[in-house]
Amino acid sequence: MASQAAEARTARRGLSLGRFGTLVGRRFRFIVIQLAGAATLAFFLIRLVPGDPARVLAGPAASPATLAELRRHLGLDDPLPVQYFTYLLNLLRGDLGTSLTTGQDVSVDLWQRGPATLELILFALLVSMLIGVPLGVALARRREKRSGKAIFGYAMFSGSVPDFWLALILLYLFSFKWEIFPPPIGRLGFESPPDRITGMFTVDSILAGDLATFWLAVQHLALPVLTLTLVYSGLIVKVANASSEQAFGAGFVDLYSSAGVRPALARRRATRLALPPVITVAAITNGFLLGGAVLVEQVFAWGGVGQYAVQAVRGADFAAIQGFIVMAAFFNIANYLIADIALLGVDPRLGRTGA
Amino acid sequence: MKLSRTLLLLLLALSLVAASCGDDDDAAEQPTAAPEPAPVEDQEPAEEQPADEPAPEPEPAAPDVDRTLRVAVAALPVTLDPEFAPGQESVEIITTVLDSLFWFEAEPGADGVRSATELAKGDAGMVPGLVESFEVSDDNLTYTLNLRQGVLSAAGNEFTSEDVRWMLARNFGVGVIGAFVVGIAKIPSMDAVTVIDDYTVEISITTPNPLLLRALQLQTISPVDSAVAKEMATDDDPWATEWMQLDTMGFGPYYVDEFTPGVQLVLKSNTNYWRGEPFFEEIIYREIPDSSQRLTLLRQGEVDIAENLSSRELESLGADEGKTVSVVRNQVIFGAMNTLGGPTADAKVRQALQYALNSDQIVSSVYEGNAKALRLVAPEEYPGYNADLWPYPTGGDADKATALLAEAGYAEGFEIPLLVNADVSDHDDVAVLIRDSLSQIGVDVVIDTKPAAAYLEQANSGDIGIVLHQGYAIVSEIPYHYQLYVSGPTGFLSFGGFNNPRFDGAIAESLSVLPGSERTELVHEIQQILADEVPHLSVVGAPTRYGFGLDIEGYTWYPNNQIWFYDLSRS
Repeated sequence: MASQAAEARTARRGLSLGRFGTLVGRRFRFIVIQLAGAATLAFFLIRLVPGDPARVLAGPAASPATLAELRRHLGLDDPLPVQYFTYLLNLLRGDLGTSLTTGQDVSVDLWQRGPATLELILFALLVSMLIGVPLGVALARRREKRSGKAIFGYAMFSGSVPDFWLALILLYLFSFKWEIFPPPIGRLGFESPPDRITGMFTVDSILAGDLATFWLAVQHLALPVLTLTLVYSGLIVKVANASSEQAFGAGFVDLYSSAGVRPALARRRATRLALPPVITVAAITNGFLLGGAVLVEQVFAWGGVGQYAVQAVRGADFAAIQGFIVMAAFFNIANYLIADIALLGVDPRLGRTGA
Repeated sequence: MKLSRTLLLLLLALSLVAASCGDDDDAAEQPTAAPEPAPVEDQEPAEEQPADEPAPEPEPAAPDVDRTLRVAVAALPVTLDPEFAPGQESVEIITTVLDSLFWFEAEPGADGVRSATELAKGDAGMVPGLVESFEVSDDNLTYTLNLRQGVLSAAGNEFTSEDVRWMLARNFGVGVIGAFVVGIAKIPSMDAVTVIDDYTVEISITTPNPLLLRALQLQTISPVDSAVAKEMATDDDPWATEWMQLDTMGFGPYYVDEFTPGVQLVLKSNTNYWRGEPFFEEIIYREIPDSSQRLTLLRQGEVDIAENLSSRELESLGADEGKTVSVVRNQVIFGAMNTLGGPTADAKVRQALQYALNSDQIVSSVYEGNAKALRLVAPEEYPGYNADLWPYPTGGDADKATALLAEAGYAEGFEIPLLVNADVSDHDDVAVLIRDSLSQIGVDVVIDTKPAAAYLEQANSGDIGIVLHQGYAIVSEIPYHYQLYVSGPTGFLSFGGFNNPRFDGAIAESLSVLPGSERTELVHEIQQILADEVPHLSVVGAPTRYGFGLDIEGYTWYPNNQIWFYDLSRS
């Protein structure tokens, strides 16, 4: 009996690993196509927007001859199909081009700035989940009570407020008026950053044992994270609420109760049932946070890829805009892949239906 | 179940690490740092050179005075290469790092702000910089420049004729903005440049040039430490353009210590600087895109200088929070009108619009009096400026304007687009008041605001009605100013395509004649044509403005509208 149980566990383990492998394998087949599609859209859509990179680079006083030479130097005088295929070939080699805004390779720019945005997004997602899920579950139990109505009101309010406006309000109150948090001067103000390991100052300072810098980084993170959380956690509250209502109202919960099963076990089973929509909305929120970070980074002078993207758009920096879009596409592909893996872990039935 | 949970957590952790992990070896290649400044004690002590203009003596400061200057700017330089540096933000850094061959005499202006006298005196307002003295041949075509000796860069290399030669050769070799500048200087080719010895350079020009000394002050000709530049150059990049994108080294009071484009730039003082070490040992430029945040940082004392603030923001700065530095000198705002098509192709229509424009209202409403009504599209301080030639009242004359429109056949008025640069503060407000003025005579102005890149493209396309533009001429001369901003065939910023052979001929002739009666007559004629033809709406003379911390002193205005950080100190 014991060996049969062990064999069954081994078989289930193999089956689980197999499902994960199948899922990841299926996704990777499409990643190249998805990225190529995003790159193509980026290439052509950007060129529909007014703005001449050569003119921006050379300045308004440049002569026509100078502009022509610059366009030749930038490859902008080639026919559009030639530019496109050159771009795709370079992309396959990992060459995202050179930014007119910074003068560096776009890949270098994204590498330097990416951790700033990732740190912001991850903290915002974490706080959003820590606040949103419990509030959603609490709403399911307290809908008719005053606290439930307050939570419901917050869920409705959140998401309807422009993030850049909220950022300015929070800065005015918490930084300027009450001086609780530091001013919007980037991730550490004028202090020197820790030695780069991950590029995320909170993580790097902890790894370096520098608690003072860690605390400073957290203080600078507070307001931008709070801004993103207040704007984007509403969806998590609503989904967590709906999901937990459904899960805790399921028939088996009553059956467990009637059969004398420990309430903790019933709650654990119900929680697992409620998880998939929450995981899905976390992935969706993560994707939204990248977009939300763009304007929030502008307000807080964060120095991440969002601020970089805005600079690139204003300067008609084609390579930088394209690079950002491809990076964002990759981020979202990875984001949803992780979510799908998590879903499969929580609900193996999804693997049978080819999720 | 346990395996699933464990695997899930492991995958999540791996994805986090994979997304951001990188040690220093894999980290982005950092901008190439300039060689560390050589310690002064390893060098021959620089022979003390008396400065031709008295260097400001920094007051002996208390030991704990903050010697770091923090500056909040809207945008950091795109590049530090003067050949590719069109923006104010680049020019300010380049000017601070690269000292120039000639510099500006400065004295207190009528408003009490110390200002360069070049605005009114022309070349006579220039004083020696890296050039200690010079001689001019009798025919005014050959200039012998005697270079200041013992000048060291932050890298410890001495300034010699080779640095001047190399930089001039770079102007011809790269030839973007440099081609424009050597054109102003009228240096035809490198054959006209002769190195006599280590400290003497001879330059031959084609015709007498009243702008030469000022052309030799410009940042494209300001010498880079050629020894360092040559180390950074390659066979494929003989002019070190890749290095100069993010770094540079000159003979100025500062050098670039750190530059992260789009984030922060740090300058450190050149302890070898020939005028004496600057007060501030470090300057931190931080990019803060939002102007309201720059103002907030100034108010909180987090930064010492906030640049690119709007009039409203500066007005809101409390007396105990900071001080506003606002000077009206050579910046002009004009509306370039399409002289080749549409209603404004008729000079009478352009005259009518100028009559209708109420510049006084713009001065008072947008700039709170910190501006001047503009006439003749040029600052009134320019040599030879003659306001008597301008018949258009700055407060507007709607009756006269209406009559002129009727004469031109537009009694019912017309619609015209006004192109506005979204990235220039206050221009939205200026555009609204222009619309208001012109609506009095039945002209319906449609404001079209675009970001800088799209604005430039549209402005240069020829498909315009009126283009609102703000700028200043790097050389304070009416002929040069008009050649740049007004003349259609030669001016790259004229937008409206104004083409008047008599106008262009007089400009070209006056730029080949030294100051005297002949030149005075030509400048008079140029202004008369402009007043008659009105190719541009003269709007306002705009202020150069900054928010300064209360303890920052020493600001001096220069024609390049940059802060020369060497002047500044903290009380």
